[in-house]
Amino acid sequence: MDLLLEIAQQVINGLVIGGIYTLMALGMTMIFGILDQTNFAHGELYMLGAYAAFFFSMVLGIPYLVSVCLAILVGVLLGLMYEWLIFRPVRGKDPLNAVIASLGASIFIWNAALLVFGGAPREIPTPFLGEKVNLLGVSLNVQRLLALAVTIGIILALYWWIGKSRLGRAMRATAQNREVAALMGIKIGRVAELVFATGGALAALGGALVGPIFLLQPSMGLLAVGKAFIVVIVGGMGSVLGAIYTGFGLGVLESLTVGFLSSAYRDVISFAILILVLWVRPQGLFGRTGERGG
Amino acid sequence: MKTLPYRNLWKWVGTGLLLLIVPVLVRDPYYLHLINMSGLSILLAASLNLITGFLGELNLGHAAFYGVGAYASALLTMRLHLPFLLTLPVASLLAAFSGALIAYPCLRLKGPYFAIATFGYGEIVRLILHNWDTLTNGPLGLRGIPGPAGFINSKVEYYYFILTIVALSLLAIWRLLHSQLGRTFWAVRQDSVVLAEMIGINSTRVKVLAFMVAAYFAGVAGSLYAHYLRFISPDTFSFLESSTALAMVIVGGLGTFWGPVLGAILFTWLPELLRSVSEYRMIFYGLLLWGSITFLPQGISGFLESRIRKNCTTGVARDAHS
Repeated sequence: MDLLLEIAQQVINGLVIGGIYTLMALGMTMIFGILDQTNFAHGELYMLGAYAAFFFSMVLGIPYLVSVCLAILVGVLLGLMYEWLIFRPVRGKDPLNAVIASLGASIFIWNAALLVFGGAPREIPTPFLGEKVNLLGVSLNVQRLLALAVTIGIILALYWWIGKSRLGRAMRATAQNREVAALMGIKIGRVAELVFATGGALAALGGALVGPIFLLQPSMGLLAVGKAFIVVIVGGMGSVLGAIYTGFGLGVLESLTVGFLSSAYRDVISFAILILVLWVRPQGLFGRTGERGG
Repeated sequence: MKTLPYRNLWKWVGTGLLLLIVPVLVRDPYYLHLINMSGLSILLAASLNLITGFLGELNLGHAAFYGVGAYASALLTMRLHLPFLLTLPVASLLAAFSGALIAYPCLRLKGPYFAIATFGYGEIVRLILHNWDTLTNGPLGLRGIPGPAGFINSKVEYYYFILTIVALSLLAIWRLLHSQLGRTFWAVRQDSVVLAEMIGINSTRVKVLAFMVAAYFAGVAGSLYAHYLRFISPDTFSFLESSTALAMVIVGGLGTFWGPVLGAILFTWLPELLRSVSEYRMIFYGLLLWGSITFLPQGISGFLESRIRKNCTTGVARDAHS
């Protein structure tokens, strides 16, 4: 019974982490699926989202939940900046140019953050961290539950939005064929702005939600982007559903590895899965060759 | 232009003589050290250029080969007490082997997939170096790696040794690029791989070979690094090192022969010029990488070349293409 409880505990922790991976991976997979560009600087959106929440709640004294909303706004603005400064200038060129440009941006941003925020780990205060609820013997931290609930809600909303709304349809049309979509009167620049704003908002939300659980560090984006890449590729680049399943799956797997094996193996196992999938099924678990977008 | 440009013989002799008297001109041991480090960077950048510049595949884990060479060479001398002159080629061959290991599974991947896979490999190698305590001494790294005692004792002697190795390596790369095999590197790039296959080129073989050659020279650089600095740790071979090597190639000039050499020298000396603002160093690197690919995709040497070409009516033959 104790073992079962331990497993349940680890699975829930894993779902929280997995939700954050999913939030990041969704933005990246949309950027890849719709615009054919790879964003290596996505982790910095997550990092800056966490620091934005820290700034609003800690420095300005705004309540935590309002700070999270403000952090999302910051994420939207940052996403737009990414589109204008990094990705639009290299659109239509060799796709590797976008990888290199965003890599440069990533190095620039996290080192600038190191200079501005300092290397010392920081903590976002939240009223929910200390509180625990007991569910069938499993003790659950309210902040983790909140993060999980918000993540799932947002993912469902996004899924509905891409599938049903007019804007979602424009995005999917662009993913299928950019030229024809443009001929049909879809403004590609607008779609790109929308995609990056959404990606920025999701990543910043992720950062603001885990900020209170883990410590904030300027380098936190680098590891997170590695994990999000694993999710995006294993799930199938451009596949929204694949990113959701794989994101939560990877989080649970990592959490179980830490709980029952050793934390040293956590990252090795994740990257080994990446290489294995690239080896036997390069299109990803949920991707079909030639398939793109949600 | 299959051979070296003999028509510029005097230029070559002049450059060679100048390089030979560098230790006489540079008395400051610290500057000599930086010159030696430039040599290692040149090897690293020139080898990465084989993959990213000529094969057209973005390699974000080049520091892994560098690390394999360094750790293999250090461990062979420390554990098995092999002499440096033996461990240098053996460690480089091991690095080449690791290159083949990475190249095979990644070959089916295209563009960004390939880049991310190499990023994953780089991380795996770093994590292994970090966690396999009994072999690599974990995050503390290896200290007191024996130098090639007996025949290289001072920085000046190191200078001549590194100069020789770098010159020989660059010559080998040059000859390779102008051989039949080297020309197939261009042929199997993404946009023309189908055509290459049609005329009977085995693109898989060519790509794996290119990877092995590149990993070999990165391994040479790693081995030299380990015995020259006598201390290595996993942090030296991190993603940051891979990105710095990439920045050397991109800013210098992707796919040109001398561009990465220029970039390597630039990025080894830049930190010195920026010493008063050293905390801005990586910020500046990131900015350079972004600015270069956005505004100057051909790099410095590509830019200079196009300026020269514009000025000369005859045009200047591009080194690497021929």
